[in-house]
Amino acid sequence: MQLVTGGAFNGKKQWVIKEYGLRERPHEWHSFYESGTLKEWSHDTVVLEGIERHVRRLLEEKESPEAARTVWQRQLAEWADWERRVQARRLILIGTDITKGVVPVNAFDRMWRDTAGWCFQDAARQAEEVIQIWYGLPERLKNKEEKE
Amino acid sequence: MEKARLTVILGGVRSGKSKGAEERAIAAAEGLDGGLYYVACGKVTDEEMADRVRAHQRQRKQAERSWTTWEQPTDIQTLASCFTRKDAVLLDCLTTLVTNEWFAKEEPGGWDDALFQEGIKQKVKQGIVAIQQAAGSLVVVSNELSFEPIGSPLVFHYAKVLGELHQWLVATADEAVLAEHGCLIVKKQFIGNGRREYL
Repeated sequence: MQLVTGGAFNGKKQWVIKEYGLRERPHEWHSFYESGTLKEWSHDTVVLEGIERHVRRLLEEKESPEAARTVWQRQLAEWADWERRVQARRLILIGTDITKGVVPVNAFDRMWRDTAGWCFQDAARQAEEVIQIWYGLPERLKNKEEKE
Repeated sequence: MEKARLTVILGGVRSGKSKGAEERAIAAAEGLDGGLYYVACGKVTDEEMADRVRAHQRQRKQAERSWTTWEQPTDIQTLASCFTRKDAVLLDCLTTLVTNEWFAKEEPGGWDDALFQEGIKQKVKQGIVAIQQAAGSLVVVSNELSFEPIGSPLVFHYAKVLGELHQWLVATADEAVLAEHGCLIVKKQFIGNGRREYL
């Protein structure tokens, strides 16, 4: 599992397409900005884009950060299992970092931001690699060898 | 066509990005043995803004080499003919330039049109390329984008245009620097023979 993060409009998606050769490689691309429902995966390479948006939906459904995080952790574990079953499988999570900057005025947005922060930590723990993108330049925050 | 060496410096407010940019422009001017130009995109709209401008002016006056300032809130491409390949140019800053171009358009309310946004992006890119083709060195300063959840559609589209311009700048630059609390973090640097390394 790979976690690709960074601020909004930093070129995360373009980097993923290039880095993993997705123009040639068959893959499943699911954008949480477009839909909250995941379909059955039929390819070995799967990209989930907009995980912070997914976290927001979980929070809207579960109404508490703890409950949302429990669901998220279960999903991460299921995805890791899916990956482990076949060697060629690879899951790439793309998430916009919304944890910095001015504290949102709206209480729900504050809760969303906190939950996203925790959920990104969970994803980073689960992932073999964590890559932060700064205007197209990657910085590896966690490398394969360092996996716990 | 040959182009000026391009350095891009991004950072938050009071991160030391202007100072870092000035030092680089001065070093470039010394190397080129030509003029040192400051392209100021900020518009003075109130006293606080005037203070900021004066502080930057003081900083530049203390420098040994003298700066020639061009105040150019929009249409930076019109300056290209003022420079030669011996000149070092500092553009401060891309964020205000984009803001000024954004609100300079005749028809307000057009900003949510994809063509409007693309037009701003292309115009700014062309302006930078025009200066790069004329001058010997170009340093561009811009404000780092924020990380908070994006609220209104206006902010969304504005941040998108700025983010895409930053991506383009970092991709084409010889050197890309992030300024944090007065420390300069070199993210990408020129190592000669047209090669660049990512740090």
